[in-house]
Formats: sequence, structure tokens, C-alpha cells
Amino acid sequence: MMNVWTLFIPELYCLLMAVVFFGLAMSARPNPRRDYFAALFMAGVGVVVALACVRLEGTLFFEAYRVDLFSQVFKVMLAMGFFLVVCLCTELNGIEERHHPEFYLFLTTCTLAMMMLVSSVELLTIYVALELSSYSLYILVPLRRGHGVDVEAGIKYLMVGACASAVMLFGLSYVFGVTHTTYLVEIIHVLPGVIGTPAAIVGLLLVLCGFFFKLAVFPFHFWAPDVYQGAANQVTAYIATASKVAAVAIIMRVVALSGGSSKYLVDMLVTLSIASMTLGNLVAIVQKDMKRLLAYSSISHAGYVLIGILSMSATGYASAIFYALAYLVMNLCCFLVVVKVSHDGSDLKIAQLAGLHRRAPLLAMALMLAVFGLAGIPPTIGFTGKFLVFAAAMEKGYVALVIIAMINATISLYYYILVVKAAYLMEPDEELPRLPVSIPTKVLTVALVTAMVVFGVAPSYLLEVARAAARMLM
Amino acid sequence: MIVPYSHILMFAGILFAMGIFCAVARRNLIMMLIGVEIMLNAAGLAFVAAALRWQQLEGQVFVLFIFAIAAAEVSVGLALIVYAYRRTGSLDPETYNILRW
Amino acid sequence: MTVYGAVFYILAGVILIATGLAITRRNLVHSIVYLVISFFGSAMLYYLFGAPLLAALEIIIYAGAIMVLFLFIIMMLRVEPSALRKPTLRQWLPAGVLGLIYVAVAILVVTTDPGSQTILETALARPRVFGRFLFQRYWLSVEIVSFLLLIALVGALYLGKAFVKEGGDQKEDQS
Repeated sequence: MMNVWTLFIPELYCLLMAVVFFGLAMSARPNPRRDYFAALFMAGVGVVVALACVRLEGTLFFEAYRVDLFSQVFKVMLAMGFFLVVCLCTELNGIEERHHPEFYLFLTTCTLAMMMLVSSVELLTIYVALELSSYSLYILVPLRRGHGVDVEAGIKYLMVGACASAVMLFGLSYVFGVTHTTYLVEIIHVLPGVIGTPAAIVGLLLVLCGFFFKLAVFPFHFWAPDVYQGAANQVTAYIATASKVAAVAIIMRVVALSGGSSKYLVDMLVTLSIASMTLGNLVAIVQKDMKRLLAYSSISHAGYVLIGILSMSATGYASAIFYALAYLVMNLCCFLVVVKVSHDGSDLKIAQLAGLHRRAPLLAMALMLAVFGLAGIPPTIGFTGKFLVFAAAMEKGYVALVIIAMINATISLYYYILVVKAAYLMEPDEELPRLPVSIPTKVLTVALVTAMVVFGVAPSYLLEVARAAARMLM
Repeated sequence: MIVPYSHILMFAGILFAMGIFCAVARRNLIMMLIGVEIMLNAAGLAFVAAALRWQQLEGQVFVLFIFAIAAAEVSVGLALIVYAYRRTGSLDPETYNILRW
Repeated sequence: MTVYGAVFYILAGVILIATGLAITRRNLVHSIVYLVISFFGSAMLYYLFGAPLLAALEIIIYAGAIMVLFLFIIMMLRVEPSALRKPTLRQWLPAGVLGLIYVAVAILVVTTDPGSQTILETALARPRVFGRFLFQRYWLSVEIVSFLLLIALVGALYLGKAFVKEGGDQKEDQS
């Protein structure tokens, strides 16, 4: 009995964290520093716990829950994302002080739910875990100290999310009706045989809709810019990184179910991928708000990740895992700068970046590297990620798709360079004081920048891990 | 014996389409939430029909969880709607347009 | 056609008409009342499909708790029927197109699936069997969903509290 529970340690640890924050939320006196250090310490230990459990393997709960390298790698990424977002919370000015414990509580439950999501191999467990993570985020969005935008963003997020989950549920009922089982292991045997029937393919597509909503892929993208802008900066950072990573994981699991034999599914994914990339990149050009820009860039990045997934080969899945990790690091680096520059918790206009290279040279450098990474310029990790994804697609012969994606990458360069130009070449109207950058922030920035460059130049170790994890899916 | 499985699916499908229609076309936050409830109910009926088709309990278990999640959704959704209504004094989503692209 | 078949078609007709009326009413209270009828019909369908426990829960949770909550909120916010505008073409169009695409796909799906012509046998899942199955096989999901309800509770509490705080300091103590 003992060894069964060791498999579940990262989740149990998250649960413990949630209980602690629940307790803190009940305390009468708000104490932001206590909450922050408690969160920082426990999230840090959480990363260590997730890393320690990376080699575990086994199944739990009547085969509904599988712990393997694939799930554990994603759990490490989620724990890291959570830790880094908590690191950004030194000045949590976007949220009222007495609600800080609740803020950490919802972040923790969301992380817990996503950890369970990446490990579930049974439809009901997947659905319930997905809902738990969504609801935590629905409540986090209107938690911002109010000027009306947060309510609007919260309502839009909830409405679109509820519709997407209902659509997904209907798809699940088709999948269950066709395959008469809810276990992915059995579905993967039954489904390729019946994938030719419309019921199976429609069911699978409707199920994917629910996950596309999380990843903000084309027809389900319109919540992204509003929510990114409306939520507090740290919440946006979390939605933009950790929740995207979990969505990539679960989309891979579901797409792998089809066994790679359905032409319709591939065509559909190709269309969605192209639409997301093009739309995201074109609309991003006209954005003035930094968070909205990042939202549209996230829509286009969802398109790039889909290219890796729709290759439906081990290399394709490995490249998508690598891309997800690269995206996590680059985006967190961008949000680090956003959070630090707008330290009063307000939205950041791109124009407000003016003169950043003198106000905070380190942050300006980090922003430049992160943005170049998002654009896919070597030697950053973003270039390596894009290269791997495109290579996997070429291997399968999707030449046209890769060419369109490359054109898109070129378009995206334009607005990314606008950001760099604002930070380096533009001067602010009035002289602004230097931004105070504390030692821990400096350490964090340097660590993120190092990770971006080092893994961009020498990705072989990470790639090995990603390949091994992807093999678990096949 | 009752009816062919396809008839139940068709019925659930029409109900689901009504739900989508209600959620998309009605310009009222409460009606949008009701539309989602109709969609969930339609999915539940399809699940029970599938459970009956294969004589498996999983489909029925799914419906039980749909009930729980629908309850959570309504509580959070309505709390948010009341919160928004008190701030803006309107239930029309058209008035929520500070965020525009 | 058996008696059960006849019951299904009658119930299906009632549910569709009630739902159709519910989503087109301009008075929200009327909508809710029609929906209650629709959910009662669904409950009877659940019973017909051999899920008596779910039938009871549908009435208790859906037709009971959820609809009453809606009514409560509608009355609390005093939504006037006149405040509801008729949807314009721009709003009807996406909904209509979506609905049409959906119905087309549904017809395709249903007519081409070979297994869909299977005539369903009647069956009955006793609550005892159902409960045992649920708590053995889906133990983890039960835990997750209970956690979800806790989160929803905390969230709803927060959203209610946040307004009281802003609404004026004389209410401070009650929060």
C-alpha cells in the first residue's frame, strides 16, 4: 500500500499546500509578507518534490491514473511554472492584501488540478480535473483590485469556458457512445477501427474543443486578449504559462488516441493551426497594450505547438513537449519584466517601456532575449523549439504548412521588434527614475536568461528527456 | 425495448443546439448561463443513452458528475453576475465593452 | 412501437417544446418555469433509461436547487422584462449558422453510424449497485469534484464579500 501512495506524492504535496493556504485565508489579520514567504518556500519545495518523483512509474485508482515519464515531466514543468509565478508576487499590488491567501489558494488548486490532468488516463477523471483547474482560474481573474475591467474579463472567461466545457462534454458522450469505455488505454484500441465514422471523428473534435479553449487555439481564442488584460499581472502570467503547458499535454494525449490514421483529424488540425498563427500574428501588430500583445502572440504560438502535435509521430510529440517548455521559460521572462516595470499592478502599455535600457538594463536585456526567443531567433531556446517542430512536420511531408508557419514567424518578428525598439531606442517624454531591482529579482532574471540561452545552444539533454517522455504516448 | 439509439442522439443533439442558440443569441447574462445548463442537460441525456446501449454504468456515473459541476457553475456564475450587476447595473453583455480589440 | 417507445417520443416532444419556449421568452421568470418542465421531462427520460437515482437527482438538483437559485437571483436583481431587447440580425446570425451546422453534422453522424440503429433494451441500475460502482471505481473523481465544490464555495463567498466591502462601510461588520 505504501508504494502506491509514493506515486501520488507531488499531488499530495500540492494538496497540503492548498490546506495551508486555506488555513491562512481564515486568519483575521492580513499579512502579505507571511503569505508570500510561505508560498515561496512551499512552491520551491514543490519543484524539488516534483523533480524527485520524475522517475516513478505505475498506475493508480483502477488504472484511471497513470504515473509515467510523460506525466512526471509535465508535473515538473507545472511545479516550476507555479514557483516562478510565485516569485513574481513580491509586490502583489494588483490584488487586495486581505485576499492574498485566497490568491495563493486558487493558484495551488489550479496547479494540483493540472497535475492530475496530465496524469489522468480516464475520460471522467480528465473532465473533472479540467473543470477544477478552470474554476480556480475563473475566480482568480475577477480577484483583481477593481476598476471594472476585471469583472468584464471574468464574465467573458466564465461564459466562454462554460460553453467550451459543455461542448467538450457532448463530444465525450459521442466518444463513449462509440467506444463503450472511458479508459484511454481501451479507447486507443477501439477508436482507430471506427475513426472513419463521423460519430467518432466529430466526438473527438468536440472533445478537443474543450482543450483548445485552454490553449486559446483559433475558434476559441477570443477570451485570451480580454482575460490577459483584465486579470492581475501575476494571474495573467500563470494563465499564459502553466495552464498552456497542461493544455498541450492533454491535447497530445487525446490526439494520440486517434492512432494517427485519420486524415480528417489531421486536416482539421492543420486548418486550426494555420488560422491561429495567422490571426494571432496579424492582430498582434496593432496592439498597444503589452499584455494584449502577449495574448495574441500566445494564440499564434498555440498554432506552432499544434504543428508538432499534428505530426503524430514520436519526434512530433517530443518537439511539442520541448516547445512547451521553451514557451514556459520565454513567456515567464516576458512577464517578469511586465510585473517589475508596472510595479503598481496596472496594465503596461508598450510605450511605457520607453527608456527601459537606462532605467533597468538587466530587465531590458532579459526582455530583448525573451522577445527574440518568442520570435524564434537563434541562439535562444525559442529558435530551437521552432526548428524541432518544423523538422518534425517536414519529416511527415507537410511542406506547405511549414512554409506558412515560417512566413508567420517572419511577420511576428515585426511586432516583437517594436517591443525591443520601445525598450532600447525610444526615450520617455519625461525623465523617469531608475527602476529598483532587488537582488533576488536579479538572480531570477539571470537564471531565466541563462536557461534560455544555454538550452537554446545545447538542447540535447532536454531533447532526450522529451523523446523518452513522448515514447510513453505511442 | 425502447427506441433506436440514433433517435435519442438526435433528440439530445437538437436540445444541445437549442442550448448553443440560447448561449450565443440571447443578449442577457442569465440567459447565457441557462443556455449552458441546457447544453449540459443534453450531454447528460446522451450519456445515459450510451450507458443503456452498452449496458455499462460509466455513462450514468458521468451524469452524476455533470450535476455536481453544473451546480458549481451556477453558483460561481451567478455570484459573478450579481457582482457585475451591482457594479454596472446591467445584465446586457453589450454594455461590457471596455475591453475591445 | 412499444409503450416505452411511445413514452419516449411524447417526452422528447414535451422537452423540446418546453425548451424552445424557454429560450425564446422575454420574461426570465417564464423561461425558468418552462425550463423546470423541461427538466422534469428529462428526469422521466432518465427513469425510462434505467437510471432512477439520476432521475431523482435531476429533480432535486436541476429542477429544484439550480432553478430556484436562478429565480432567486432574477427576483433579487429585479430584472424587468422590458429591459430585455430583441436580438438583432447580427446576433441571430452566428447563432443560427452555428445551429444549422450543428444539426447538419448531427444528421450525418446519426445516419452513417452503423451501431446507431441498435434498438435499446430496457435496463435498470439500482442505486445500491450504482453507488458501490461510483465509490469504488471513481473514488478519485469524487474527491476532485468535492474539491471543486469547495473552490466554488470559496469563490462565491469571495465575490459576495468583495461587493459588501466596496458597497459601504456600515456593512463592514456583517462581512
